[in-house]
Amino acid sequence: MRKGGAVKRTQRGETNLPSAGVLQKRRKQILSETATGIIIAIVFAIAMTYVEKYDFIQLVEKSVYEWLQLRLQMSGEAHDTDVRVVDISGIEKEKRPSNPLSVAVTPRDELTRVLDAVAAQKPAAIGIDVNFDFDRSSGQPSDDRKFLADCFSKAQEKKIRIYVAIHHALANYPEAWLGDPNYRGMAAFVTVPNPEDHEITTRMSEFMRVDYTGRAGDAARHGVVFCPSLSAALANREWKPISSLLGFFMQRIQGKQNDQFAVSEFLIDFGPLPTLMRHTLTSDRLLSSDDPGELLTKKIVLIGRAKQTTDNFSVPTSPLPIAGVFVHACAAHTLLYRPLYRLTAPGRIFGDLFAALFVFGGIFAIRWHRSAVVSSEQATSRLHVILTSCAVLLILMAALLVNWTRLMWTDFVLVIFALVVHSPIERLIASTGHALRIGRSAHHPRKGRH
Amino acid sequence: MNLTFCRPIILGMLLVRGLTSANASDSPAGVIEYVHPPVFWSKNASSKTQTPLDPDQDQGRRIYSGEVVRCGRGGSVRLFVLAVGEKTLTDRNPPYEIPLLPDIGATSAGTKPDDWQIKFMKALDSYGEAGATLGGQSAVYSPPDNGAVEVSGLVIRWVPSPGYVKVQIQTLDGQDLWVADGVDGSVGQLDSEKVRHALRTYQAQDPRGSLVLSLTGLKGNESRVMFSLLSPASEKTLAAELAYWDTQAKGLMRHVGRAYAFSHYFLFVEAAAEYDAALLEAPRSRDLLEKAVQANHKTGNFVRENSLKEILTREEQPIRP
Repeated sequence: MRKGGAVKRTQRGETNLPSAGVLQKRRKQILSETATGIIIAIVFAIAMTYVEKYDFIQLVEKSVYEWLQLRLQMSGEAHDTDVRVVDISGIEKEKRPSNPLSVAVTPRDELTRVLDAVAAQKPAAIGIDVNFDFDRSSGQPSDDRKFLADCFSKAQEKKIRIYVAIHHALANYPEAWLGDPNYRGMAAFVTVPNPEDHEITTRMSEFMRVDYTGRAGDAARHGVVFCPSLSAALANREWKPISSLLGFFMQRIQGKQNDQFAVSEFLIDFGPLPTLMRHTLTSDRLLSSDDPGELLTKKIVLIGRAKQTTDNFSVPTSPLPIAGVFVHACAAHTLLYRPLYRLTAPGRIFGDLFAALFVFGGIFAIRWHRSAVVSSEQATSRLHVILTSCAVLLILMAALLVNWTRLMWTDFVLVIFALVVHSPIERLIASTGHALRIGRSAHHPRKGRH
Repeated sequence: MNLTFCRPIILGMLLVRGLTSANASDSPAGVIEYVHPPVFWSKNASSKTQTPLDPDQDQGRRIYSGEVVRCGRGGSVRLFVLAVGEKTLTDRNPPYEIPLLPDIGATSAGTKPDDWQIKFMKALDSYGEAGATLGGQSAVYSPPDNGAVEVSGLVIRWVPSPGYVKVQIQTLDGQDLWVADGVDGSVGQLDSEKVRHALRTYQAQDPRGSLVLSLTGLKGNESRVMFSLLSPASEKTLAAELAYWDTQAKGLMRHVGRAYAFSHYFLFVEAAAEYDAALLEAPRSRDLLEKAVQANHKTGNFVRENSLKEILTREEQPIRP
């Protein structure tokens, strides 16, 4: 049986305007339903900040994050990156000549040959992803000092920026990071932040601020010192901070700190990963007589082990863990081209609310406008079409346009989920309210009504 | 412990270590052989703090370049310094600054990390890990990297890690001798007769051949060690040396002697076990703790090495400010 009898149809199927009373009642219902929808959205947005620690939510966010990263692979710059990796896996690690009992390291003379070959192609910058930390208790190995001296003279002579990886050496005062005050400018740290939520590596440190004032003795005079990460040093590009208003909702970098140091972190764009792997040049080929041409000219070159290494990281878009050198290469690419943004905590709530208001506002406008000619039931039946359209629009905005927005917003799937479940919840609230009202009127019949 | 008797052993080990391991965690310039108090030690010539040396606790103590030893009235001390040989000091001698080590490859003098640095490194490790290759500590510590093994007693051991690992033994030219996939990494050891059988078969063809053992984890991280098999002839000689120590010495001296014999044949795991056994008898002996640290460092058992270092640091604090 059809309801909404107030709408009368002509023989040609046209709809007559409803009476003013019916229209008022219908619009009241639209307002009520929209308000319920918005309240559900607000509750949902706030609840999101509390439930995101649960495994299921994290799994959803991780999947969405991976999808967004896959989308980033579609960008033109991902295919045309100026970052290159030179793989030195072919060079067998050996015990140091001066110390047969030491652990095996990449022979420094071989590394020098690779560096010479790379420098000969006049790259924009060279990053050596081999850890040059040394045990302060026994002094710096002589072959390391010789290699660093070579790097330093090559950088001066050929006017190439050369950076060398350090990690624990940051605990020394800056002049001792690489064992010589002259080499301080070549030091770049390679610490990759431990994964937090996603169990995959998504972030990279940009700068580390080390506070030496807490150290005893002469070291304290160094005060507060900044050290760039390998990727930041290689990219050598400064990004303008986001305006304060926009910065309330989204951020490029996130700060972390403890008693000893503070770091700024940014999200890594893994879009160029397939290109980087495809264009990886092995040291064997580089050093062979088969001239590789000018593949590295004006490029940012990272020299490191791409295989058979102990620094492997699980990252989005890659089914297998990848070597640290690729993580640094992707990070350098991110800083070189366009950084990625993420929402702040208020930004997430605002984003979720905005999406909900966008949808419910749209539905409200359409229903309000059509309320004169379409019954509530007809409007409700069309709600699914509108919701589907909104969901598609959200996907389009959040995922398909991520290359343009650069915003890694992972909540949109959950917002879509909220849109889908909002109708049943709304019906449940309405029916519960109706039942309560009936129950109340049965117990307390209104006066004056018979 | 009779230090005069042990001196050749200690100094031999120090010399071998000093001349070959410039990057070991410590490079002592000599040892204190005998102390008749009052004798004082200070960190350097400008240090105002002078620590009295104890005849028992500081016998066999390592001394480092730049440190200063001085005798008080009636005191005497006998040192063995790598750069100059034996050196006896009395209260008539001026304070003696330990000379530099002969050039052994390191080009800058070493200093121990201070508390701030240790705290910093710990904070850094909890924040993230180095995304760069380093001459790595292998997860495998038995067989030890660049060490040797007796086939009959071989048990493969590694630092336990969650997940499954692939264990593979190859010849240097890449020929597989034995492979096992899906080994539980959290167990941390593999005691397999099949492995020993494969190695015996190989040993029959090449008694001194070097082999590579690799352990590949879930993340693709690979730990590799190169080791050799103790030849049957060496096994016999070693057995004779061990028998000598078993009959001619007892207690601590027996363990030290056996450890020396094992080290001589590159059996670092066994040497480390001897030092651990000695530590059961003298748990606070600084010298033994240091030897045990060295031995475990050679095996690559950095977990044990670090725990010993912590004990050593605790023991050293009152003496070495």
